[in-house]
Amino acid sequence: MYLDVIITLLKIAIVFGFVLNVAAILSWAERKQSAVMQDRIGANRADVLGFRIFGLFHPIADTIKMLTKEDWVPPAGDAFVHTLAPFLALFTALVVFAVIPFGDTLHIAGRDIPLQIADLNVGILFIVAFGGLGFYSVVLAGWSSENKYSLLGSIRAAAQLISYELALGLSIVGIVMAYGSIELDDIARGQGQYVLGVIPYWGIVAQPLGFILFFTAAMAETKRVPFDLPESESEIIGYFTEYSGMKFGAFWMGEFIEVISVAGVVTALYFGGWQIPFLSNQGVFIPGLFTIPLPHLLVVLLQVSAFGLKVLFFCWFMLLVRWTLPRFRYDQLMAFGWKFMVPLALVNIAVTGLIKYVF
Amino acid sequence: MENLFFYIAAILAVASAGSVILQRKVMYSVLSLIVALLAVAWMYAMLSAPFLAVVQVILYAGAIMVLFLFVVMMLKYEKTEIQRFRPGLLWCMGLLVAVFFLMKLIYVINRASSLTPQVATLPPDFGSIKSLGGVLYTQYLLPVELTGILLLVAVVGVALLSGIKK
Amino acid sequence: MLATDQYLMVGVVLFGIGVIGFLTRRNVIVLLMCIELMINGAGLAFVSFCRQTGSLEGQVFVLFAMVIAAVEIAVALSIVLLVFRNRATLDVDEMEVLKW
Repeated sequence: MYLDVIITLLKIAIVFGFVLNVAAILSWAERKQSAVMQDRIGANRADVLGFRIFGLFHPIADTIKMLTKEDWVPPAGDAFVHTLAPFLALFTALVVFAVIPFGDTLHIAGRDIPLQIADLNVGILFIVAFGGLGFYSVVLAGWSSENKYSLLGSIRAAAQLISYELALGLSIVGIVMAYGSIELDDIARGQGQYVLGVIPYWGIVAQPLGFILFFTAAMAETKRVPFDLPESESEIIGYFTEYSGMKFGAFWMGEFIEVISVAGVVTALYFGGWQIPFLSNQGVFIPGLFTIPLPHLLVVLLQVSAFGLKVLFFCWFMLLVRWTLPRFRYDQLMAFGWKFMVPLALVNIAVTGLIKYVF
Repeated sequence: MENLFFYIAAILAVASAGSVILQRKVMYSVLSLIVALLAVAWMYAMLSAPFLAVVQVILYAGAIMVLFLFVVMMLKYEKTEIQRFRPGLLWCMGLLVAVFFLMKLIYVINRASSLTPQVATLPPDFGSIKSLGGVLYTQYLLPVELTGILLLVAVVGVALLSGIKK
Repeated sequence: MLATDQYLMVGVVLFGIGVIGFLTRRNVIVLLMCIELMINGAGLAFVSFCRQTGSLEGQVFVLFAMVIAAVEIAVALSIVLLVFRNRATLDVDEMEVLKW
């Protein structure tokens, strides 16, 4: 009983430690990546005792700066809601990780430990539900600032989030149909099969169109370029204009955490989760030829680190997209969401159903 | 343990429901109602209805309350924040009727819950999306289709109501 | 397992609070929220009876109730917006054009 609680707490500590640290490093990686792509050097000024290590001290310097800045609440606004909104942003971004499996079941000392914080039997729906609640942080931030431009920004954000949530949910239906389960660990396990004996049956193989739709919609949900109309730091003023100090920092961190959570969900649904091709619980194998046995702990370790690497890859990929594409115009954004993504997602469901029915 | 969780959820639900009708600011009423709905979702999950719990979060907290939030955001209306209850006699009568109704309801529920004293043993996947889908798409297929038509009618109606050009 | 009548009582209290609010508040948006409270109280009763009897029917009804609630709120709020646009009030006691 107590051991179970301790194990769960340990899992939470590992996952949150990973997520929060990667979020901090992402803020550095984003600057460096943009610098590389624009032929600059990028952040490298923060030094501790003469050491600069590629500007890796910048996240720490940023945090200190934000913690020591004045925390300003608009006098005409609503102080309680104004304080609540950034916490909601962090909460809804973090809670998604509760259901993402980061490894196969670990057998250790006669216990079976599923490497997933909460094995809920509603699985993906949990992600949709609590990811959708992120909407409130945006809208409440805009409303409580008592600023017309913040309010307009939050209305833009709300319209965008609602529109793309539809495409997001519909594209998930395809993957649920393909693997016949709504639980994320079942889906991850189902991706360990092989098509024709050699191609790993990952989500991207089963649902190529679904993957593109999901990834696009999920990027729209993170509110980053090319979908950053709600924020648009540089010109049209977004919903967190009236925020300063660590409350602003919470929104900022929340955005990076959303990036990681999107990367995590994409990995778990479409890129095999923790699966490594040709590595099963018994060890490395070439189908039909030979198997090299590996100890269980090593296999689990390899799988967990594979999951971590995949997540890091998608985080980096989203940075690339962010610094490559220009922003959509607002009517383009809406037309793209409603007239292109949603019909395509419906077609995807129909085709998946047809294939399922024929085979 | 389960008792503790139940009492937390119950207190949360009742307190925030009370706060819905007591708050002066309509925005705070909306936020309290969201908390109440989440607490009800929590209780659904404890009553072995996990799918309903998630649908409650998606549909109520994620869609219906969003509409309320939008309307409250759009309308700058300060009057009811000063006088939130109906005037004089109407207020008293409303309260009396409500309390009488509540008493009656408690009596009926007490009678009803004493009729089947034991709690049934449930299959392990009770209330999961699979079992619920099985019932919905066989036994209740016609109502499901009718609900779809109802949704369509509502979409058309709302578009007509809010899209009127003067 | 906890006895389900405690859940039933919570449902009754939610419903009762909804009724009280519906009969005493003036703001029409709050009235609509009170209706939501009542629907949820009823839903809680449905689900706890479901748990007690071990049948799924109640959960199905709650699902339908949620959809109906969504429909109702969508239509009602757009009517509220229209009324506000025409009469600039949200007070139910001032919406009395039909009263003779």
